[in-house]
Amino acid sequence: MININITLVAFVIVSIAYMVREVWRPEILRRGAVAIFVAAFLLNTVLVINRWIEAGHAPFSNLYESLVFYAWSVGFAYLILEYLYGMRIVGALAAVLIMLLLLYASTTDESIRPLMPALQSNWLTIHVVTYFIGYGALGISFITAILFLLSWIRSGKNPSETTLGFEKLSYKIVAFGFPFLTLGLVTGAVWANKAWGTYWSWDPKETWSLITWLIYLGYLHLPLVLPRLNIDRAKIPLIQSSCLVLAFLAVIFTYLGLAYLPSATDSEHIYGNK
Amino acid sequence: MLSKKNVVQSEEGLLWSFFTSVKLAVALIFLIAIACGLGTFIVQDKTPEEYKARFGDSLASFLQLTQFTQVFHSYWFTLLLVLLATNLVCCTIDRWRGTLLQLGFILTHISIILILTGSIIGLWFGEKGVLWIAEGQKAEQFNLRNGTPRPLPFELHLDSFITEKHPPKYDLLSYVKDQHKEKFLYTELGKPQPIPKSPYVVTIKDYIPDAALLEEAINTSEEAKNPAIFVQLYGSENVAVEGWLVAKDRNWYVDRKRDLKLEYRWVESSEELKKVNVINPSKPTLTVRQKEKNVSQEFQAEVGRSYTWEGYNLKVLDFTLDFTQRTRPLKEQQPNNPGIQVELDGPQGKENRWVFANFPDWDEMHPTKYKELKLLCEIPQDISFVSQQVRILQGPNDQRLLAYIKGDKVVESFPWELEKKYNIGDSGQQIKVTKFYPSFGVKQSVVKRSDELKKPALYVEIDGPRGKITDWVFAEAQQATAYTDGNLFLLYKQMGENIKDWKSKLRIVDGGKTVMEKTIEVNDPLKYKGYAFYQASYDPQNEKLSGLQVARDPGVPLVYGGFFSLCFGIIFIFYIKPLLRRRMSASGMQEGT
Ligand code: HEM
Repeated sequence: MININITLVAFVIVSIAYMVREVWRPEILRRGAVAIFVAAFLLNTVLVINRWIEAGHAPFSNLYESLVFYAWSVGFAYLILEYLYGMRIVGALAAVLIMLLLLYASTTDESIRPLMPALQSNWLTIHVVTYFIGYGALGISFITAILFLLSWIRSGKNPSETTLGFEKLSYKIVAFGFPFLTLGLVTGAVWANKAWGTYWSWDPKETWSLITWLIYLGYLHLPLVLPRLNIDRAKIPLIQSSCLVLAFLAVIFTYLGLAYLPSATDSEHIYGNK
Repeated sequence: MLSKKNVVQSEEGLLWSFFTSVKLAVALIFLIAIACGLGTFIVQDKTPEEYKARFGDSLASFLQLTQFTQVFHSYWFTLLLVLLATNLVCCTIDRWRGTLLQLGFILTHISIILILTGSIIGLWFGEKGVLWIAEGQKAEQFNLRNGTPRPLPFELHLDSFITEKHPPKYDLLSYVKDQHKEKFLYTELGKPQPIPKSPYVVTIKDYIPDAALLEEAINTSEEAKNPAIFVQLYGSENVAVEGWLVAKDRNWYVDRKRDLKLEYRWVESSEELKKVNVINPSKPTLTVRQKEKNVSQEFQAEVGRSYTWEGYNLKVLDFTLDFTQRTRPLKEQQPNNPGIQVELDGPQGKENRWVFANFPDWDEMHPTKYKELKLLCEIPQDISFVSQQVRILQGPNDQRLLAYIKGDKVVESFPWELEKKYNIGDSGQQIKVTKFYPSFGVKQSVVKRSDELKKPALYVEIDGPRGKITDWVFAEAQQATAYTDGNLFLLYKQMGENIKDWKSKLRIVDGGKTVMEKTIEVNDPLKYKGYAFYQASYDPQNEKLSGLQVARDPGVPLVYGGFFSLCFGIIFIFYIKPLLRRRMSASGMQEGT
C-alpha cells in the first residue's frame, strides 16, 4: 500500500534535492533532481489510482480526494512545463506546494462516501480533471510570480537586475494553463446543463470560477495594454506579477474559501461545508 | 472599412477608438470580475426585510437602490456586458485581417458574442421551472421559479418513480466528552486502536451484519420476588396470542377486539384471594378547574351523566379512544387519541367542548365562552369496555384462583393448574398458563439473523483507566455505548447520503397518442419539442413524488456553439499558433496579428 505519508516524505526529498542542485550544482543532480521528482510523482499517481479503484468513482468527491488529486495535478503540470521550458529552482517550490497539499490532505477525513447522483457523470470527471491541471499550472505560475517579486525586492527594486526572466516564464505558464481553465469552466457549464437544465445559475462556486477566469483573461491581455499606458516600462512586469498573485489567491478562494461566504449555504457544491 | 490611424478625430472617431481599445477591454474584464465578487459577498435576491435585518435601514436601502442586492440582474451589470460585447465586435472588426494566425483571436472573440446572445435569447424566449409529479399521475403544466403556472403543449405522465440506494455504509464513531472530540474508527477486527490524546484503546472483537438482540425470559430465584406467568390464549384450536404477564409490572392484556381482558394478580394472603371481583377504578376521569377561584373537581367521565358544579352544568356527551374513528363502536377503536366531549351550561348558555388526554392544551387554543374553565381528562392505559374478564390470582403456599367475570359478576372461579386448558365462559376461547417464574428476569443475548447487511453490530472491547469492558454496539442504536467512566462514547451509524440514483419513467402523450417514453435520471433528461425534463430531486417524506426541473431554452445551441468556438479558439491561440509560428519563421515567412 502506498501511503500518503510515504509520498509526502518523497516530496520532502525532492525539494531538498532541488535546493542542493541550485546551491552546489553537483553533476549527478543535473538530471537526477528531475528523476527524483518523477519518482515521487509516480507515488502520488499510485495514490490517486488506488483511491479511484477503492472508491469505485473518480476520486474528487471530498476534500481529501481533491487535495491529493490537486497535488498530483501540480506535479503533472510541473513535469510538462519542465520539459517545455526548463524550470530550474521552480521545481523545489512546486515540490513544497505539493507537500503542503498532501500535508493538508492527511489532516482531513479520508473515509470513502458514496457519490450523490448529480456527481455520477463523465462530464464531471472531464470538468474536474481539466480544471485541476489548469489549477496545477496556475499554481506554478504563482510560484514564478512570487519568485519574480522576491528577486525584485532583493535587487533593491532595481529592475535591471531582475533579469531572471520569471515574468516571461510566468506568462508562458499561464498560456499553458489557461486553456485547461477554460475547458474546465465550459465543461462545468455543460455538465450543469445536463444535470439541471441550466448552464449557468450564478451559484457562488460558478461565479468565483468565472472571476478567476476573468482575472487570468485580464492578465493575458495586459501586455497589449500596459505598454501603451503612461507608466514606467520597468514597472510593467511588477504589475503583471502582482496580477498573477492576486489571480491565484482567487483560485485558492474558489477552491477552499467559499464556505466562508455569506451566500455559501445556498450553494450546491462547496467542500468542507460541514 | 475604417482604419483607426486615418480617422480624423471627429466625435465618431473618438467613439470608435474608445470601443476598439484594449484598455477598455481590460477595464471591463476587471470591472465584471469585481461586480461578480460583490454578487457573492452580498447575499443576493433576498426580501427587503432580510436586508434591513442584516445591514440596517440606510445601508439596506442604499444596496437596493444601487442594485447590489441583485447584481446579476441589475441594469448596470447588463450595461457592462453590453459594453463588453460592443467592444469585442468593434475590436474584432477593426483588427480583422483574415489570416490563419488570427483564427484563434477571431474565434474566441466571436464566442463571447455567441454566448451572450444565446443567453439573452434564453432569457427572453425560454422558460424554466419545476414540476412535482406523483407516480401514476400526469401533468399538463409546470410552475416557473416565481410560482406562476405555465401550460405544457402536451401531457407528461410519470409511470413509475424509482429510488435506488447504495448498500448502506456504517461507521464507528468515538466521542471523548472532556475533549469534545469525535473520531472515525476503523472497523477492522482485532486491531487495537488507541483514541488519540486520550487513555482509551478500542478493539473490535466481532462483527455481525444482521444482528438481533434476543431477550429471553429467565427465572432468577425460587423466591417470589417478581412473579410472572406465561399465558396462552386459544382461538379455536390454535394459540392466538401468548405472552408474559408480570404481576408487579404489566399485568394485564386486552385483546384486539377489546372484548376480553386478562389480568394477573399476586395476592399476599388467602383473604385477598376472595376479593377476586374487586374492580379496578380503570375508568376515564374528567377534571374541571375554575381558574379564577382556583378550585377543581374530578368526575367519572361516563357518557350521559351530568354534574352540577360551581354554577355550571356539565354533561358528558361522548367518549372516544380515537377521535378520527369515533363513529365506530368503542370496542373497535385503538387508544390513539382518546378524548371526551363535554357540554357546558352556564350563564352564557350552552357550549360543546372536546377534551383530549394527549393534548391537554387543546381547549385553550380554541375559542370558548367559558375561558375561566379548564378541562382535563385522564384515560387509564388499560381502559377496557370489555364485557368479559379473566383474573388469574396467585399467592404464596400455592394458592391459585382463576375467575371468569362477565358484566361485573363472577360467573365461575376455580383453582388453576399449569399446562391445563380452560374454557373462557362460552366465548369459544380457551386459556392456558404454561409457565410460572417466581422471579421473572430478562436475559439479553446477541444473535446473528442472516448474512445480509441489515442491522450490523460490533462487539467492542474498550480499555481505559477503569479496566476493560466489552459490549455490543448496534447500528443506529438510540443511545451511544458508553465506557464505565462516562467520558468515552461509541456510536455506530450510517453516514452520509446513500441515494444512488433517482429514475422517473416518463411518457409523453401528444394529441392523444403516446409519442415518447424514457426513463430519466440525474444527468440524463428527456427532451421533447424543445422542452427538457430533468430529474432534480425527490421528497424524502414521500418516496412516490418525483421532482423534475423543466427547461425550454432556445438559446442553448448558440451558447454551445460559443463554448465550442471558445475552447477551440483558445487551444488554437495557445497551443497551435506557436507551432505554426515556429514553422513559418523556420520557412522564412513573416506575419503578425
Ligand atoms: C474570451 C476570451 C478572450 C481571449 C482568449 C482573448 C484572447 C486574445 C488574444 C490572445 C489576443 C491577442 C491577439 C493575437 O495576438 O493574436 C487578443 C487580442 C485582443 N482582445 Fe481578446 N480575448 C478574449 C476576450 C476578449 C474580450 C472580452 C475583449 C474585449 C471586449 C477582448 C479584446 C481584445 C482586443 C481588443 C484585442 C486586440 C489586441 C491587439 O491586437 O492589439 N478580448 N485577445
